[in-house]
Amino acid sequence: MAARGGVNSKGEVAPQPVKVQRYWPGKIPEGIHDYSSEEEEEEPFEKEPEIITTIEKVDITEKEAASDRRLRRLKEAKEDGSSEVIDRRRRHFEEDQDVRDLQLRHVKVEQDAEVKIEEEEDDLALRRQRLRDRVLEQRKQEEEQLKAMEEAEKAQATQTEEEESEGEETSEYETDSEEEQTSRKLLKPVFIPRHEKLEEEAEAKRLQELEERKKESHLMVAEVIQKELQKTVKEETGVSEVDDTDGLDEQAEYEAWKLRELKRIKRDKEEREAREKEQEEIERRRNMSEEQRLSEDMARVRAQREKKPHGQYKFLQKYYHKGAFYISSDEKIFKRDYTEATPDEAVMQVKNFGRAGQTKWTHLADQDTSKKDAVWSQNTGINKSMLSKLGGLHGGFDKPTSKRRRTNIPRLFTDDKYIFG
Amino acid sequence: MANRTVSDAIAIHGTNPQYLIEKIIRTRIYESLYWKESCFGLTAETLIDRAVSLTSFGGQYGNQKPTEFLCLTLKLLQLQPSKEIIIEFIRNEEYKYLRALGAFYLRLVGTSLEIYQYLEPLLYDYRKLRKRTIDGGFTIIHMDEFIDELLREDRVCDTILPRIIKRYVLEENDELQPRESALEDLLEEEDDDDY
Repeated sequence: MAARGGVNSKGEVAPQPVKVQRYWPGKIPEGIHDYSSEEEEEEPFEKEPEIITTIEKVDITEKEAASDRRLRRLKEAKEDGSSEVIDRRRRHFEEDQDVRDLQLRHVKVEQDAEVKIEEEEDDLALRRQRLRDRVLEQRKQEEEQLKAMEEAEKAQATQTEEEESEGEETSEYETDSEEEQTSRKLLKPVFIPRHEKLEEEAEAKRLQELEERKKESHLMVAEVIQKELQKTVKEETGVSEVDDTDGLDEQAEYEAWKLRELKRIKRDKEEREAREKEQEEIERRRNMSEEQRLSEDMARVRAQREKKPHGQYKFLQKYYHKGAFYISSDEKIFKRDYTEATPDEAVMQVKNFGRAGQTKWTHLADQDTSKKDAVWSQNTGINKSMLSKLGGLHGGFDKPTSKRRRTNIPRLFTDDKYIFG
Repeated sequence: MANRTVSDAIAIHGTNPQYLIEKIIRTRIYESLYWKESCFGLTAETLIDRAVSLTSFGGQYGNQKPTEFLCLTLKLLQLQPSKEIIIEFIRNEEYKYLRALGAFYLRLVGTSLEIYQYLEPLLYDYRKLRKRTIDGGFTIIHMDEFIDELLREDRVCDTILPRIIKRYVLEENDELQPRESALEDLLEEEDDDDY
């Protein structure tokens, strides 16, 4: 703020003390005009009411009007203006006409050589008046339009509210999005250089390729799994391995059956014959005397022994029978001669072979390390040299103190106490 | 439903019919998935659907798992359907595994005379059956072979079969006529033609 000049008591021109205005945020400082009212005052045509009033003050009499063409026109115009105030609507339609009139008049004025400056001024004032009126009119119209728009908006708002009350979520969303749009912050634009852009593109492409490959491999794995599943299903049912459909080769199947049936018939026949033979034998033996029967039995036994020589049992050999329950009757094991000697293996040639106790040591004689005749107990050269290397086996015992007395330790410190104390 | 035999069941061979399947295999059947899944709540009628959809027969396979055939046999023992139903099983021509099941069940449950009477005609059926072996694989065996096994062996499909009176004994007692194979007639005819 500039220092204001003033006159002091001595009559000298001296600067007056300035009252410093403190600025408070949110408070209008003193001496500052109200801008909004000022702006209105600064409207271009409203600053000249004086001129207009002067014009209005001038009274144009009928005489003057009759004598002077221009005065008459002015009078008419004045009347027009007053009527304009009353009927704005009409004026609005005649606006363009007026402008044209004005222009025409202007041209006429220019053409007229006898134009007086005073009269010219009057004309100008009139023109200004009209312009001002027009501007005012425009403003009013704008206001009206604004009002109408507001009303329309209000109506819309009420409508939307009604819609919302109906429970439509979409309208709610719309309004929300509108609010968001208005409140959303704009992002700061970032400059990306060309080479970086290229890199980004390459990266995107690579990612896409990766995705595609992933999909492809996924499909492949699915296919493989499905195939395996199908395979297992087939294996479960045995459809793939063994086919049991009949009638593929009817004749061959029939022939095969015929063969089987014949075998069965033959077997049955043989069995029957064997039975009959046995029956005959029984009958025959029943008819024999006791001595005859005995001699026959002895002869048969002798013949049997001669026919099949009995294998020689070795010392402590036993006859073992493995369970025949789960072994089919035509297995080789049933035709084996169990009287034969086992192969020459020490493992099996023991008493009670296969018993649980066989796996344990029966005595600890061969585990005894304190035996006199052991290799490590003999007085050999190797054992001697070994003993000399082993700790604690050299023989004799030295007292650590007596050893120290004999050796000459260099005395770095005179005070023995610190060393040996 | 507990794995109980139906309350009105008749004791077979002097015992609960389910005991015809040995304890260990019976337990394995009760624990098998097929028993729990497909044999639950079956009746003699609905069991036929299961038997029709069989694709193989056998005792135990793989890791000593009971076959579906064995499961259904135990189910039959549990339900004890009337003999007519079983005979119908055997008589049907269409489904060979249903026939095999019926034959096996009859061999377990029936009397010696019935067994010879109903099973011997099946010796003329030479259709292929898929048998599941203990190693998990499959072999082809024919119906007549299976029936012959049932008549002669004492252990079929990992099940001990009840003792059966030998055929010749029944023949001697005049309970059964000696078996005349159809093939013998055929051969005789052929021989006659030769002369």
